[in-house]
Amino acid sequence: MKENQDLNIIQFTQDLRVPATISKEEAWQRLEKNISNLSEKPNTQTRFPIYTFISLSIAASILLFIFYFALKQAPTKTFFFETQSSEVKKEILPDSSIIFLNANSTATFTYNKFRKKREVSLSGDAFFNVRKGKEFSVLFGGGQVNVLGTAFYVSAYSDRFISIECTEGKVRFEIDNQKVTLNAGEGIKSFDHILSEKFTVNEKDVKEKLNGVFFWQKISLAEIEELIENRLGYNVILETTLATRNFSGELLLTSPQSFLPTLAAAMNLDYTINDKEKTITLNAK
Amino acid sequence: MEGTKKGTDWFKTIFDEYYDYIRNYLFYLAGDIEIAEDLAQDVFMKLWENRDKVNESTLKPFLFKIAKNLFLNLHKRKKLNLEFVNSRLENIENESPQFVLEVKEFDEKLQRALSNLPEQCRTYFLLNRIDDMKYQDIAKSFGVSVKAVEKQISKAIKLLREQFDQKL
Repeated sequence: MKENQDLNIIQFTQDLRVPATISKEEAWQRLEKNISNLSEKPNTQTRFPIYTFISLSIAASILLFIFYFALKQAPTKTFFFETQSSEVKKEILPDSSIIFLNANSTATFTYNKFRKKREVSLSGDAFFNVRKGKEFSVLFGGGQVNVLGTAFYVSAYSDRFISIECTEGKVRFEIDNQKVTLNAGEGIKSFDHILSEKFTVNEKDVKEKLNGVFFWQKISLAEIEELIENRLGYNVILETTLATRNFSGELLLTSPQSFLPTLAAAMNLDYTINDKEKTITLNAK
Repeated sequence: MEGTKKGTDWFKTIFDEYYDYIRNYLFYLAGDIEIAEDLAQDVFMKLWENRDKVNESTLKPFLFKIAKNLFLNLHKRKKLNLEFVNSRLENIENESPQFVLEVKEFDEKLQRALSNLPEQCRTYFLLNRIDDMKYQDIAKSFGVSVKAVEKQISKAIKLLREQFDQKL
């Protein structure tokens, strides 16, 4: 990026586009209406009888009423992004913030609202790099994250297992009426509505999640089970006694075959995969 | 088309030709698209009201002049925060997240640097780079010499380069 900066400045400027809240056609229609209003100036000398005035008032009220409801129900453009298993998508928001949507996830926002209030709804895993500016919120089942300009990772496939990892700036995390502030290099998770202690995260590990590589200092098998089910769409059958056992290390979560040998060896487990029925069974050896 | 012949057809042609330039110019001045779009409406309303007095050959300078005056009358100078849409970022395909984030970082630095430029060199530079207005066209539209435009655009590039060197 640095070897030919002058060239980049010019090339980049040519790639910039001025945003718009209305199209050129809409701007023309607005203008055309204003022109016609200008040429239809009312004759101020005309006097209306009182009953005409009352009738006009009633008509105006009805029109106002209709206009209010029409406006209330005016279509607002909603953007819906979606990824399949083992797919990562990059999406640019109207303020140039970026979302990297990880596997099996969805993100939505409403364009008209977004320009006034930066808000995105998420179900799944995503890395956000937010442009500095007004508050930016990510809403998910059971909670939300509020930031100004920063980079962070949200894992929120369901309200059972939520994880937030901050790599730049500061984020405020709200869940179950509890508020936590995370600084760069800090993460926190909530499993079954129990909030963990803050843990340390490093930027490289967080970004590796977009390649399917997940690293944990400590995670229970129940939490891994939840992640696998949501991320890969497999039903995991796990012995209850195994649920609280903790795993530490790295797993490649792109398919059952990519991580089960490692997980089974590390935790001394037996496993079976049924691709047809989309089930994984884990038992103690 | 002169005098009373300037009806809505004439006005629509002028609107189609100049709306984007005027709206974009107002955005470069105000840094706020809603203000730019509202003022662009006012500019064209002024044109409509004065259509019989306006000379076709000076139409473009007339529109830029009204735009500047309306902006100065209504909005006090404040720190600018231009927020462009970057089509390059939108069009990146099959690249690593790391690369995309590097491009985004560069884009943010550039937009911040553009916002920090003095008004005249910022608007001339952006009209030239984004709206493809030639130096002669800018000179004619703002009633200045081509040399003056060249100077302002060189100044813009120099200041941008300096801001990048200072690690924005």
